[in-house]
Order: sequence, then structure tokens, then C-alpha cells
Amino acid sequence: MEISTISPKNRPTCAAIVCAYNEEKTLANLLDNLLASPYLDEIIYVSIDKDAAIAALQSGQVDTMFQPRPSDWQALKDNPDVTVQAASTSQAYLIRMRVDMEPWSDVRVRQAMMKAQDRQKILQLGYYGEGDLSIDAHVAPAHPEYCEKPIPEYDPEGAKALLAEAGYPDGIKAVLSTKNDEAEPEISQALKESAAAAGFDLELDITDPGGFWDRWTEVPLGITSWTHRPLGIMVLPLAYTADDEGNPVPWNETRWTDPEFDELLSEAEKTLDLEERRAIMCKIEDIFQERGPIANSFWKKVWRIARNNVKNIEAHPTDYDLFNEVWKA
Amino acid sequence: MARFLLRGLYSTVITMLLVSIALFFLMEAGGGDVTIRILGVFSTAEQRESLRLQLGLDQPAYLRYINWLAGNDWRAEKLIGYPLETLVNEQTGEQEWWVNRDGQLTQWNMTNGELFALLYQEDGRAIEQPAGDVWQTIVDEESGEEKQIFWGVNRNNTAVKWVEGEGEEVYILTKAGMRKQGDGPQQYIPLTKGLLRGDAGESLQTGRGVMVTLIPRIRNTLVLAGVAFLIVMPLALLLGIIAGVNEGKMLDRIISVSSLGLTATPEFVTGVFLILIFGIWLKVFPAVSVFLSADAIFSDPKILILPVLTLTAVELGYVVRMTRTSMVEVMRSTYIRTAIIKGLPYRRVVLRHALKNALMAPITVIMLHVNWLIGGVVVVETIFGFPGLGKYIYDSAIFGDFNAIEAAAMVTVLIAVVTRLIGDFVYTLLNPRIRYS
Repeated sequence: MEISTISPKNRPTCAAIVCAYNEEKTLANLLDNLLASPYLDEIIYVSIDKDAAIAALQSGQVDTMFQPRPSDWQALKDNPDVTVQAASTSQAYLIRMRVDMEPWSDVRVRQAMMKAQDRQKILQLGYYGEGDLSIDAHVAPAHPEYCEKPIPEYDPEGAKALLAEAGYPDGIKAVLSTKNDEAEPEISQALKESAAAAGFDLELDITDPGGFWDRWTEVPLGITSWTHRPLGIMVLPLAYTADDEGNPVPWNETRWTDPEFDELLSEAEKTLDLEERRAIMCKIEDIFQERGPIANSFWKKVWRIARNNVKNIEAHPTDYDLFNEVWKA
Repeated sequence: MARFLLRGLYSTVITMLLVSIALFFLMEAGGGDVTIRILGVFSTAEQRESLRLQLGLDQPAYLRYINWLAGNDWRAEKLIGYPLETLVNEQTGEQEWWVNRDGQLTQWNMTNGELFALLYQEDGRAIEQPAGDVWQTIVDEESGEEKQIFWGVNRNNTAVKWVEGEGEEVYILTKAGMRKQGDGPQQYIPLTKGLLRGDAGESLQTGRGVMVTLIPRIRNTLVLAGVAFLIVMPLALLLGIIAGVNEGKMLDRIISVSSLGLTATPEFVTGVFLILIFGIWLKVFPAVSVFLSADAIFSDPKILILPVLTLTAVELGYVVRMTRTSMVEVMRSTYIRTAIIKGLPYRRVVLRHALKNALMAPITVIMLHVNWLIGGVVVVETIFGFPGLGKYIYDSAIFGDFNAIEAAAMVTVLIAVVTRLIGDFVYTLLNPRIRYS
């Protein structure tokens, strides 16, 4: 299922007006019902390739498409007949480092990698600038409990100094593994360039998606794409904790655990009040930035592209088709 | 004539057999794990192994080929001891396998270590009751112990072997994902009647029969190819004859150059331009083939216009040139010169004497094009999102769905050989000197 098309039956009928009058019996309500267009009668999903879908959307045969890729967005963004809306998400391409392997076990090396990102440039080259810049924590502005922190600057000199301090005055050679999917190759290239000035000599190891998911938890340095979760506390236990016996949970690709982090996280998971949770998040984000296992340049945006006559449609961070209050003009 | 047809039939069958064997072993050699594609990348090795067992993929290649071709219900019947029957489930429309135990159709199910039999009733329901004493005692080869085994058919149309007391842990693929279950069988034989009896097997991609998806695709492609063929061929032959008769003159040059230009442009370029001009800027035709219902080619034939135009543009030049060259050559021959000198009307010379001989070469090309139209228009189908046979073969090949690929390949081979036979037959009509005696 890749596209939806909406059939145009949305005029109030005489029966509807009479019903409204009988039920509500007030003029204000009657006017309200007259002016509001009834919503959709039918939603049809048509199975078609995304490349053909672009042409179908441009010619008006369909009204919207499911999950536009960056290439689809590029093709359609300047088209006057469609409206493009973006939603901020917590989807990201994380640079993750195995903390149980050299050299990433040294926290200074990880901090150097965090400083080695030219975030604006990586966002521009990797995702056409369609994203929100990120701190090096797995909590995004799209999360309600995000604690606002300043975006770190690109600091190659500082990175070099940290590497020298950690015992690598000539920098580090490393292999960066990722998959040949939407944006990872471009991000790896951009990272390679910006990290080169900071003393990291990265060799790119890009494989096809099937092969990558066999080994995504094993590589020492890689870029993993993580999808969106509505709350900040939902993804943290999946990837940054250990089970009762002290073994890292299956998706803890970096093998990183921290007792203070665990304590704060279980505290946050119990806290329903948003502001209180935000205060705990501030501390969690600090831990990430000080000694965490990941580095992240941006949170990507997703798009909803629909024709101009589709009203009240919105972009959703996980591409849900919420059409219950949508109508066509 | 009869011998000609018999030989044609014989060559068809041999070709299909050889192609199916070659394709099967190519796919074996090509490798690729189809269970990852079915289960997704987050499945564990155990789950994939379990699915591989259930799909019968652990059997050796030659055995799987024989299963595909001749079916394996006769093998399963020997193990079960009772005949097997198929019937079509009224609600789902899919084929089901039942064991005919003395007139009562039965399937089995094991839960919590106990074997239950499902008895098929007249009104289509199935009553479940304990299976009773159906276990057979055998001596295990490896350990020398006595074991109780039972061969039956489970709810999934697979012949399975249960061993009493040794419920295997298996992973069952449900709509919600993989579910772990004890009481699984030790051995699986997915039942199929085999291609020779009309059962093309189950598609790994859709989980339903191959024929369910394949037949609408064949129909769509036949309609598209048929319409394109009916438009292109008369037009191309006509233009070619006109060009050939007027060799060297302005008309010839216009026809030749423009048709060559159209053919030389790849179909994805022509297609995209047609979509852009007629579908998006001028908005006179539908841009892509949006199928709002399964029979959209009949209910909304406008979606065929642009794909047919693309195919026309691509094929025109080739046939026009062949016809033109052939016509020119024939018009230069001595017997035509004789006819003209003897005073026959020019039109009669062309239509009654030159044409039949000139058509020999173009017919070959046309028959080859029919072949291409059936299986090779993947590019046009992709550009227009047209659900056709070429795209089906491509998608199945990428997925590794061997039942679908084999079935689609058989269809393509069949059409290829049949068109060759038709072409041969048409030669005899055109040229009485050729006789297949």
C-alpha cells in the first residue's frame, strides 16, 4: 500500500441539514453544520511504485502518497499543485561506538568524535537541510520532555587535543560501517570529511541493508538508523540499559551501561508530570554528552505531500494516515 | 501439416522442461536467503531455520524440483497410508488438503502434547475430537529405541510427522509475527499437486497460490500487448510499404528518419516525456496507470493510452525499417520488373505480387516483438506502475520467490515457442516454396 486517493463526495445533503435541525434545534448549530463540510466518504489505497506515484500525484490521479522518500520530496517540493508539510521526528542516524572495544572505550575519544561533527554541514549534505540539529543524546526536540540545551559547536581543534590526551597524538584510523539505504552513504561521506580535520581517518564500509542488519550490533563504529518513538523515555531502555544479570539488552549495540543513568531513567519512567520529567531529562542528556556512546548531528523530518485541495491533513512523525478529519475542497 | 504440429508440440514441451531445470538450478546457485525476506531483518536464526523447515526448503534441490513438477502428494500418501484429497474452502477460496480416512476427511492438530483430529462435515464445518489411537511404532535408526510416530496433514496444508512425547519447538508465522510453540512436528512436506497437474504452488511473497496473482498479471499484460500490437503492426507495415515503394523520395525520408528517431529513444525517455506532456501539462490522458479496481483495464481503458503510445513509439521504427528494406529489395527483383514491363497496373503489382514476398522478413521481427511485449516490457510497466507480467517476474526474482519465477517463466517460454510456431506457419502461407513436409 503506497498511496491513498480520496473520493470527492462531500457536500451537505438536504437530508443532513434537516437532520441537524431536528437534532439540535438551534440556529447556531444549524449554521455550524451547514458551514462545516462533512469528512471523507471513501479512502482508496492504490498499490503503485513510488516513482510512478510522483507522476500520479502531479497529474491529480491520486491525492496523497505514503512515506515520501527524500528523492520524492525533491521532485515535488516546487510543484504548485501540491502542499508539502514536514513533521519533526526523533528519527535519526546515530553514530554509535562500541564502548567495550578500543579505542572507543576511552571516553575522551568518544567526546572527540562528538566534537568532530560539523552538524550543519552534515545535515545539509545528508538530508537537504530538512531536519533539526541535535545534541549528542538520544532525546529529541520532538519529545515532549526534551530539555533544551545548546547545540555543540564544530570543534576540530578541541577534538584533536582530546585525542592527543588519550594517547593518539596522530589521530585515529577507524572503519565506519553502515548500510546503503536512504541517507547513510551521504552522511558517512560528510562525517568523514568533517572528522578528518579533527584527527579521525575514517574508512567507509557501506553494505546493502540485508547484510547490515546481520551485524549492526557487532561493528565497532557504525551509523544506525533509529525510528521515532513518541516519548523520550521509550527508546532509552531499549538501547542503553542492561538486564538483571548485568548483560546489555539485545538492542544495546554500544554495550554502554551506567548506574547513574539507570537510576535516573527508572525515576523518569515513573514520573508522569511533564516538567518534573524534563528536569530529570536534563541530567540524562548531560550524562549522554559527557560520557555517552553515541554522537548525532540531526533529527530528520518526514513529509506529508498532498494536493492543494486536501484540507486539514497533517504530517505525522511515523507516517500515520490519520484521515478521520480530512476533507477535500 | 499434422507432423509439423506434432513436432511443434514436442519442441515446446522439451524447451519448457529444459528451461525450468536450468532456471531452478540457477536460482539454487544464486543463493540468497528467502526466509530473511519473508520474516524481516530482525528475525533470529532459529526462527528462520524453523520457517525453512516448514516451507520444505531443507530438502535437497532435485527433490524440490520434482515436488514442483510432479507434486509430492503421492509421496505423502505412502507415508500417511490413506489417500489425500483437495477441496476449495468456500469462505477463503483457497485450496485445502484433507486425508480421506475411510470416507471421512480429516486433518490433525497437536495441542499440549495431545493429538486432535478435525473431522470435515457436510456443511463445511470441522468438528474437533481427540485423535485416539493412531500412533505407529517404529524403531529409531540412530538410537535403536522404539518411538511412536504419526504422519498426518495439519491445518496448514502440510503433511507432517509427529513423534509422541517429542513436541518440537517451532516458530509459527502469524499475522502478528512469529509465535513460539511447542508440540511441533519433526518433519514437514508442504503439499502440492505439481505443475503437471495444474498446481503452480504457493508464492512465498504473498502466502497464497501463485496462480491467484499470476493470472490477473498475464491478463493485464496480454491486454496491453494486444492493444499495442494491433495498433503498431498495421501502422508499421503500412508506413514501411509506403516508404519502400517511394524509395529515395521525400516521403520515404520523412518516414524513415522519424520512425528511427522514435525507436532510438529508449522507452523510459519516451514514456517520461509522454507522461509529462500529456499527463501533467496538458492533462488530456491519465499520467500513470492507477488501478482503482482489479479490472481497471476494462472499466477504465484510458489508463492504457500512454503505455500503448510509448510501446508504439519504441517498436515503430524497427518494423518500418525492416519492411521498407524488404520492400525495396523485392521491388528491384526481376519478376516485378517483368510484371511492370508487361503492363500490369502498378498498384496490382505491389499489392498482389510484391507484398507477400516482402512480408517474410517483417513477420520474423513481428513475432520476436510479440515475445518482447509479453515478458520484456518491465521498463514501461515500472514507469507507468502497470501491474503486468514483466514486473511480476522482476519483483519475484528480487524476492527469491521460486514458485512464482518458475510459473512465470513457463508462461513466457510457452508464449515464445508458440509465437515461433505461428511465425513458421505464416511463412508457409506467404511463400508456397517453403513446405514443412
